[in-house]
Amino acid sequence: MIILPSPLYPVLMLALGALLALLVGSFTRSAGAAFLLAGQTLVVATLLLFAVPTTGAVSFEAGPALLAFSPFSNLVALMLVLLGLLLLPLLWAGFGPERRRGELAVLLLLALTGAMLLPAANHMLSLYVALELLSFPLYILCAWQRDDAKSSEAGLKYFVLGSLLSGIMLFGISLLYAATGALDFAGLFNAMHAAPSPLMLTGAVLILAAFAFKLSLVPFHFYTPDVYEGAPTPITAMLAALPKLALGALLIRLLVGPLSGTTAVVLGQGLTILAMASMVVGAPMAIIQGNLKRLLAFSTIANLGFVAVPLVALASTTSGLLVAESAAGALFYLFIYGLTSVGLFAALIYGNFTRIDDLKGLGQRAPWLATAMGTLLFSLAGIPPLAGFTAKLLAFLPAVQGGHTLLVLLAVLMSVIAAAYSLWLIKVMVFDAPAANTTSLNTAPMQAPGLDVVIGFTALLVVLLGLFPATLQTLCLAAATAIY
Amino acid sequence: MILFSLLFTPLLTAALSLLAPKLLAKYVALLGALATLALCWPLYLAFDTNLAGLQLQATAPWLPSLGINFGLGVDGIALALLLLNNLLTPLVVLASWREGRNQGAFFACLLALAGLVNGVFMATDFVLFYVFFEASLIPLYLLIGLWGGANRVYAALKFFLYTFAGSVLMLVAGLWLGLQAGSFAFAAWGSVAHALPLTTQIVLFLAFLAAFAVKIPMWPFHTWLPDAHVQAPTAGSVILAGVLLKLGAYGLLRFNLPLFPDAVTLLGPYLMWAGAIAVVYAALVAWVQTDIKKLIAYSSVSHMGLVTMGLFSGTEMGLHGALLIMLNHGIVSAGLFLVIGVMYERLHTREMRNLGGLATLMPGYAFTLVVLMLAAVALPGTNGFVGEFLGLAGSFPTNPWATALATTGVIFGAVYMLVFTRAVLFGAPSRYVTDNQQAATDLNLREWALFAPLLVLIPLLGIQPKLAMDLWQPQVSALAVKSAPVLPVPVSSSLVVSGTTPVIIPSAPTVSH
Repeated sequence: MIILPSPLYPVLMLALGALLALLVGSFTRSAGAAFLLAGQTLVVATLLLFAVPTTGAVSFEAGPALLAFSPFSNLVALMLVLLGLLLLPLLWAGFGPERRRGELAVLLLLALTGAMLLPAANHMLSLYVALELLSFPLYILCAWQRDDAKSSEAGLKYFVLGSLLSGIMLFGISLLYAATGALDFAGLFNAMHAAPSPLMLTGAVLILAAFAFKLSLVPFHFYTPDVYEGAPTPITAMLAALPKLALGALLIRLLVGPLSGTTAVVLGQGLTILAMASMVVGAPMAIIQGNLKRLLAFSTIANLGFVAVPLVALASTTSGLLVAESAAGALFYLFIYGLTSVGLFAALIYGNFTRIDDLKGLGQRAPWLATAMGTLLFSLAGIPPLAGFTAKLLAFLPAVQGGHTLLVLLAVLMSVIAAAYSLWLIKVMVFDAPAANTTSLNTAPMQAPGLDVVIGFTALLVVLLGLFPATLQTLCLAAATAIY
Repeated sequence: MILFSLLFTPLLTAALSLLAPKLLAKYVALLGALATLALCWPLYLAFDTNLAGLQLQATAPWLPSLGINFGLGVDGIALALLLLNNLLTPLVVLASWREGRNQGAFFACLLALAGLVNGVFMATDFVLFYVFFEASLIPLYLLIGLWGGANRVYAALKFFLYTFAGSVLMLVAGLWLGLQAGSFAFAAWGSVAHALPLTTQIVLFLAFLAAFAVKIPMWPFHTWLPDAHVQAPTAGSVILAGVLLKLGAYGLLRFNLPLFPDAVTLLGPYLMWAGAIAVVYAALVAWVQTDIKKLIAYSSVSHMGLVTMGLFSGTEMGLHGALLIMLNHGIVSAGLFLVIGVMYERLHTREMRNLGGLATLMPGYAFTLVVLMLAAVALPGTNGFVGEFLGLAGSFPTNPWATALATTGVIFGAVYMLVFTRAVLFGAPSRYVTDNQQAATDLNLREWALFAPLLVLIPLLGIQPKLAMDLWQPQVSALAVKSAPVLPVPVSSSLVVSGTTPVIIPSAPTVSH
């Protein structure tokens, strides 16, 4: 029984929008109509989240709560919807007329539905369903360019490995169930805090492995460069933005909820190793790439390693304030990272860049595009006063406070290496002369409505959130104090 | 309010000159730079030179829940460096008047750099300090990379990554210390830092040193500097030598000296050795350079070695000397790079074998160069002398042998500067010069305007260094007391500087390592 106003409305809005867009797409054979409808759906969902942020549990009669909406889940949902809105023009512009189908928008909405449900999950069952709802559209979308071998390979690789890790997660969940007899978060929390057993720890570690896969943490990262390279660029942008944010938020929720306490301490140790390995592998490997999407894939790996730093702090502390600050730091970082990625991939689509050499002389060919990309890249490198720096500050500060100074030291040193590839890209764009046969971008036919807006908007936001981070940080902190 | 305007006037001007029509950009930039310089006057009037500590503080919340504020304030040391920076900015704008390519962006970078450096000198919050310290890398990276010489890309990347790697260590140390102190306003860190165990102090000291040693640059972390200098356009070199190198010494004065006096006492003598080696080694390297810009770049390393020695000597006189050298080097090396820029604009060469005999062709130019050269070799009567003398005399009690070594470096300094002057000005004109004789015209009005303030300041500060020393006197006394070893002192001697205020040399500390 749903009573007005229900916290489910924004999610239902997205699901409904997806169905409507599917119908419209089928009957009119017009991609434009489906995209327009998807855009409207996202705007309405944003308004619903923004204007009437409702919280509360949703359950079947007499059962444990499957979903529990909180300020935390609402903020994550808002971020996701915003990223979704920014992704729509990418999906439109990233495909030629023959591949540009209404189903793209439908699958984006479905993936968003799953992503929005994830941070509200309150039961292992709803968690799993939401995770698959997020993953399946991404599997399909990766292989969207189906006459392209690399795209098909990317889809297959992501699907097979993703399913394997989903299976491992299910196995972990079943171990937890065997040890505790509970699947809902409250029940798990009580049972695991009462008498932690090795069986529970094994289950928790298996679940962490599945998260590490979705978050591209080393050594579960092997698919990332291939999938990033093979998938169509708009889908790569989705991969970099949506699942990372949603699963990162869910991991925070698990670490303060059912997997807290002794379990979290063990997981914290695991996360330390994952974080260190990701930073140490991701940053240097990015430098030696020639393909832009592979470079950004390794950049994702390094950056998710940075995100894992505050998660380590979160997992290994009992101080409520520190938990909130670490969660806020990780959330802030994930959002800024998603935003930067979407902006950068939009720029790649805009200029049809695939290799680093394609960027040569962009500063002369398209000064404003180069400025926006330069801003995003400086932010990615964590240079102040841009948002990337604030994100690193907010992520590393709680880790220092929690006593993980050496981990932070490694992180900042790796961020210097990570800065090297950003600076290299800027060098290629701004300092190098254009190659002889490249045409001016301004004369290229523009068939990308809104793409320039996305690039400009993300670059502007990165500057503004760097100069005035307090509002977003306060929001994140407030959300992080009310995770359930 | 005045501090906010010192920060935002250059930044706003940078934005305006980027957006201004192509022909107007340089006028916008000059106007903004002069306006910022003019703002220094009310700042100077409002500043009370009798007080130690921060004045004219202004704070706005930035990340309030973490206790990070947008806090600005100045003390005497910061004020002196602010004046230097804002004096040099209009000069470099004038010096780049004929910059051909992409003027708007060029002047935007210059003005943004000036504003961010002002920010570094004014920040009272550690995070804000770091933000300005790092952000100032971006415009210089673009200046070197876009308008630099043939090997500019390598130089720009090397410069950026070197300094970035140093400063992230400082970031971690600063965050840790701020969390211990419960505040990021670093003026309040003293009591917390002093109470830390010695090993922790040393680790933190080294972390801060990593950032500043690269920036100063201290031997052996100096290798980025000659590359950056040679490849940078004139304006970039002037700002780099004149102001940016001072950021490192300023950081030492802000963090290392007041926060970790025990570490300074322990490590100071060794760091003074590094300084002495820098003085001699860089002077010898400068001697054998044939590219005159590289020669001046190495002379910077040499001079900054002396600054390092003065700072870590822990004596009041050493600190006075170090600060004076910083200020003087800011004036003199800026002037020398401008001199080289003026010549390069005319003759398009920096090779010694291509030069010679310019004194007859360009007498005004020769006069300027000789005055700057004399100041650089620290001739008594020029500003260079007072600084070097105080620096060496202040270093002597702490580490006599290193000081003795550094003193020989001063002789080498005279050698390479005289070699440089002879090669450029005197002797028979080289083949290259005679071929380009019609280009070798004397200084024009704009260039005289460039050098005039420097030519006035050199004798002025040489005869009356008190003008500058009064600014930082209270601050230096406070610092010297803190970082001097607490030993019973049998004798104290005094020295009269320029016949006005007796400067007491406190606690000639006997170091027996």
